[in-house]
Amino acid sequence: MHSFLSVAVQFIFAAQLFASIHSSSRTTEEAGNNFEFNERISCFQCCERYISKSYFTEYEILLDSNFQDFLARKLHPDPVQTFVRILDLQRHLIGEGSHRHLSSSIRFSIQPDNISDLSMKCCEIIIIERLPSGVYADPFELEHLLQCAVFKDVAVFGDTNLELPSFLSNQSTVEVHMDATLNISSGQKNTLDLKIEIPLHARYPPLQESGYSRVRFGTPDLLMQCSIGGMIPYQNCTLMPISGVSDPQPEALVWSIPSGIKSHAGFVSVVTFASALLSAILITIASLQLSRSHEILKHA
Amino acid sequence: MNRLDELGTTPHPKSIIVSLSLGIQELVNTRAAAGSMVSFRLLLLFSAIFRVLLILYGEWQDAHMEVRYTDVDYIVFSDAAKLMYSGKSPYQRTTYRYSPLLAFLLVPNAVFHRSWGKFLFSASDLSVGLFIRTILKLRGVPENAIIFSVILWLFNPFTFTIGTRGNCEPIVCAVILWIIICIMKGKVYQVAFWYGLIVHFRIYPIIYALPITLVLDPRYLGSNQKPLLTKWKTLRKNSPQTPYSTDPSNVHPTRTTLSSIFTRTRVLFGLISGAVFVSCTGLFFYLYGFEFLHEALLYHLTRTDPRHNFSIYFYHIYLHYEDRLSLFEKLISFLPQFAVQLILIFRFAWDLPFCFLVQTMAFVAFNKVITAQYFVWFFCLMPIVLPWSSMKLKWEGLACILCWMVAQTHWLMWGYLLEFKGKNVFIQLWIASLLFLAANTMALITIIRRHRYSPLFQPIRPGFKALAKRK
Repeated sequence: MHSFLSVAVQFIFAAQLFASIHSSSRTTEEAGNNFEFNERISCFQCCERYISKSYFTEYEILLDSNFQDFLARKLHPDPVQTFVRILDLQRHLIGEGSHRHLSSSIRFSIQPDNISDLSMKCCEIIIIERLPSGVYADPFELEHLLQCAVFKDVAVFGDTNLELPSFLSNQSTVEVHMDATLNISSGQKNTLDLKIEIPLHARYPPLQESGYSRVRFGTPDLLMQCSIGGMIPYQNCTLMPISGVSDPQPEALVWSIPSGIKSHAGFVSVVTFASALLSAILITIASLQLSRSHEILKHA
Repeated sequence: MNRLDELGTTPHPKSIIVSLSLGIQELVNTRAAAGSMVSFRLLLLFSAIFRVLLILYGEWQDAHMEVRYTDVDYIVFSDAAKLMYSGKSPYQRTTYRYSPLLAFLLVPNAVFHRSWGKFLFSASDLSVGLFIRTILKLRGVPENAIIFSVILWLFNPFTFTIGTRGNCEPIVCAVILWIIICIMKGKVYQVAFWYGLIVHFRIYPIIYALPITLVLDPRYLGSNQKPLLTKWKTLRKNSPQTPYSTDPSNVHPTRTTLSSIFTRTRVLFGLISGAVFVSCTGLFFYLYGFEFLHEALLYHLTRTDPRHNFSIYFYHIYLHYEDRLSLFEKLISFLPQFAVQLILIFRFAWDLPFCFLVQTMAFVAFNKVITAQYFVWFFCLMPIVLPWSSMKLKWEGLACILCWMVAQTHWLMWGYLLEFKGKNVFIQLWIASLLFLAANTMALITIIRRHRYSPLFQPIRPGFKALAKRK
């Protein structure tokens, strides 16, 4: 009875399995390395959802020079429309060890005089962090934050293999979207404060004699994307750079990550293999001794 | 995703194991002395309620505390199941490195409730308790010793937390014990089916292929009759020579012919289990392509993780990750593991549950990557071997447990300093791994030395065969 039941369950299981996943074979190839989390239902549907995504459709790996060129092509040609400026940018690494948060506190100044030509309905601030290869952001951890409404939208692009050491991995970008709807009357000056914390994780760094590898963070790319007049054609979606009042360059952030020491290689290998061998010999002796003691008893 | 959590080492009340074991033994002794048996059904019911409460608590902790109760891997399985439910490949979820069967089993996570998988794993965990009892009953172990062994599994803090946190290992444990039951009942087709399936599901049980093949001996497993099991009482009454004289490993090699090696039962086992493995792998290869082959199969076979883990090899791998290891270096790291497996198999294969236990302990101890979830692989085999051990809890057993736990805690301390404090303690952590290997070796040697060898089967006597034929 029991075996009949188990065979029946096996058949039902196999049939259901095949039925439910048969269609998936067709969609597998569509998946890339990009992680997109929520459906934006706002007026941004005419805009490209992620700037970084279009970069990675053009380029395979992230290089700072390529990214700068790419952004220059994407930005609105008229510099007059940069109506948001950075007043202050504070960056910190919070926490210790291999799991830390990259915190950015940004104060923007909004100058309504410059936006008189645009009837802004929807605007969002885009922060693009180009991460050095020594660290990575876990897209699924960011998804959890997105579900908790910490960000309006967030995505990771580039090398998202979370397990590779830094000398085998490429750079990645984290693109964060924050709400910045403007209800500003002309002639007033407004400020906008934003604070974002991105959880980051250290990859295993290349070997260093000092025992620590230093990972440096550059300044993030700050952009403003505005959609003019709501549901409008694609070309009216405007992307503008946000520059500083006096272009403040905060001090470069450095994360010291413990690394293996090359000079350890020789004796670590010898002792590792010797220990394994010794252990194996001891287990073998114990197994054979037990057998011998039984043999002695047998012949007694 | 933190590495210590990924290694499954989120703090567990390990010290409870010792006190709990002592307390349980006292409880069982007292009850046995009073002539009353602990009801197995009540035990299961209590364990089930306890697990449900833990799952509910886990939900609360996940919602209210920064450190989640739920295993990181469970989130990976659930994401993969969600992808499968929406008709996509589960391998779109990075770090999903399991058979698609697991994602399929967890599809109700996406449909009904996210805790479905935890209930499934905990049910498997309870089934392990049930199977431990079945195995020990078949081998004629007295009821109070059975209850003690079952309690050791069901109330081991490590095992009940692993299921309720959402780790899939209890499923593998349940299937391995079910395979042992099928072998004991002589159900070769079922053994082959489940064995093929579980090797597809989790690969490591491939190490049991040789002992299973050896134990499927025609002298024990007749074609039309149930095998004759060696009873626990027989062993207690007689001297150790009785089981040993029946040990086929003592058969003179010159008498061993090819026809006695490639018997019908063994060939059937090989063919059926191979066919199940190839069919599952082929089906999923058809559905998910090379991504499946790489993530679920090749990754585990070729895995050399440079990140810190309990293995003695982790620092060596990290230090040489940029160089290409020579074939000699690859072989030399594989040799101790392979040699120990062969010796254990040929010495203990006929005492199958014990062979599985020592093989698994040795396999984990010498592996190139060790995470805490691997320990469950041998925890589930300990209760079915315990009645044959002459090791006393006071003080030899206790010393073994303490030694193993102290070595693990010592490793965790250095792991914490490296991962959460950013200190360069690679050398100290590597030494802690060496000490952990020493503790594992000591525990394994003590278990081997204190074990009363007992082959699973007795040979079928010719008279018995004739009687069975006449019937």
